[in-house]
Amino acid sequence: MPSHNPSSDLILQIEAVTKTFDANPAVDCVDLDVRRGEFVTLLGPSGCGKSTLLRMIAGFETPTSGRIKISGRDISRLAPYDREIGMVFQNLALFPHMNVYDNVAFGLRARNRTKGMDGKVREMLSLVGLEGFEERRTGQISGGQRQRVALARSLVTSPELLLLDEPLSALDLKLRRQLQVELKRIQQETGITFIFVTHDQEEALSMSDRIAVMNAGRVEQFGTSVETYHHPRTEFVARFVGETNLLKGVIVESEGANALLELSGTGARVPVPGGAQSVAGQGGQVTISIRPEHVNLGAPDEHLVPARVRSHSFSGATITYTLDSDAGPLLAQVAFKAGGAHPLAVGEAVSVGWPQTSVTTIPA
Amino acid sequence: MITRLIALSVLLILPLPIVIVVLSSFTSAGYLSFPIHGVSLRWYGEFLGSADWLRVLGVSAVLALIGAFVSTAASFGAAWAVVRHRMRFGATYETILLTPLIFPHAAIGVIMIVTLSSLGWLGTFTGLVLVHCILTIPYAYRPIVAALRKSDPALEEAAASLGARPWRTFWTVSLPAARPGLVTSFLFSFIISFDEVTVTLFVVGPHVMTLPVQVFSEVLESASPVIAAVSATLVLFTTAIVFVLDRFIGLQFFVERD
Repeated sequence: MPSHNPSSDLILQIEAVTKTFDANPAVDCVDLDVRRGEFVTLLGPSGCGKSTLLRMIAGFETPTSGRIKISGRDISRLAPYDREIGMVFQNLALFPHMNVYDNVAFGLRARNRTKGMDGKVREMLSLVGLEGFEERRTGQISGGQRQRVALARSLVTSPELLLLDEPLSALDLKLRRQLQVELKRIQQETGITFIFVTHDQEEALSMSDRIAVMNAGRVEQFGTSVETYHHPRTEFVARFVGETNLLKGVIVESEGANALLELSGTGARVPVPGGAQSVAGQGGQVTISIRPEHVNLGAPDEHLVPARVRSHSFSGATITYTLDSDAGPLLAQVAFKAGGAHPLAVGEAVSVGWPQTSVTTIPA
Repeated sequence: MITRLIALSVLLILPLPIVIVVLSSFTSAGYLSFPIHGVSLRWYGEFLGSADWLRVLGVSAVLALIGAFVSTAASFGAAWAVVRHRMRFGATYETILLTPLIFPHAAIGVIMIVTLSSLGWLGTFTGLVLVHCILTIPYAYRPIVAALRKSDPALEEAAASLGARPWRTFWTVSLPAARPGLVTSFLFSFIISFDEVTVTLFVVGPHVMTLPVQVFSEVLESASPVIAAVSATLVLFTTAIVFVLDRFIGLQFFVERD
């Protein structure tokens, strides 16, 4: 009986991988485990190292140190064509001198798997909804269709792992949303592990099983979309993923599961999670993150922090207020009901509060 | 208004000598003159019926084919190194490749005499191939470099990620992606080589002669209208190649910025 190997459901293991260019680390000692069938997103601003990390997995860059394993086997030094990893490129890199069919068939021909090739190519074209486009040149089809060709081409060899390097960034918003849904559907239908690189946090939140937020060559947080959004572990993650209010303060009381934070600037004392969730003991400096949609606005003195409306912007279902307070500028997003109360006027005095459960503490 | 007039007259004056040569090739008289006296195809018959003329035509054609092939292949290698491998001193290297364009042809001729004699290739076909390659590489290089700069370097990575080994990637992706540049280079090198006179004049010998140089020496000796017929054929040939190039690939490679 084969013994259960806990790493057998890991398709990709990145172990202490570092890549330096001219002594500058582009990827700085990254560890990452990806499970079979997962949709993982590498999210971060440009220059954070996400593309370099992806290119090392693909084999276009060699790690300066560390190891990359696929299904437990070290592939760090293997040539890209020996890796059997699919990739969709940022500019798609469709072969301009070939028609759609030959583009998709390329991987099968290159690996000498021409037996049953025709059926496979047509199956892939139907998976991405491009039946009947076989003879078209890549220059004769739309951006969204080119995207689908690139996807079909990379999936035809049935790779276990598919890397996607910001493939949707050149498309307009509507088409982008549509392809996000389709990518997710295809990923679920094929069961292939996707590693998706993007700088768009909305895209990351809506598509991923797990998100690795990267900054300056490091992974700052690796967790589910919900964890990443609601429990950011660093100030960078809190700021980069969604909008947030960051308030600084000092822990003045810490007892059991509750602690009390004195906000800098206002002197207001607000309850924050303590105990196991506390990131600092009594007297410690912390930052708290509160998402704008959790902020409650009330009459002056109703809540803890007094503030004044600086501006507001209406976006259909919600209104977002920008407020000035002694703790700094704050954002509050409130539901807007037709026929309900009028929006607050600019300059109006209000007070700001939030449910205790919506507060995330971050080490300052 | 004035500039339009100038442009118009340039457009008219530039092709005028060519028109005159072509017209005078149809003369029935025994001497080169314009306007012509009587119309006939007599001199075309003379040209195509002469073993000597056909032999030099053959030499020129084979020389141009080999020269164009070598230049195109060498330029592809050079352009690949400069564009795809971001070769060190790539810009300097490019300038050196293009120097035959700005070097006086008389100087190149003298240099080639010295070089070829030391190699023992003066007055040989091999010597001519070498000289024509040097002269055509600047023309062959630019279209290829432009084609490579235009094509996405991720193409080769895409091929590799699909399992293609370097050779397969080269033959099925890199080379076809540069095809418009390669065809342009080949045809332009062919034209330049086929029509080259000045430098060739220095290095031909009693055993090997090209068509344009033969025309030149005939002009010095006689004024037979067969020269006009040969020239008209050369013009027709060159125009046909340029027309094909413009029609199917375009000549924008020569005016585009890198």
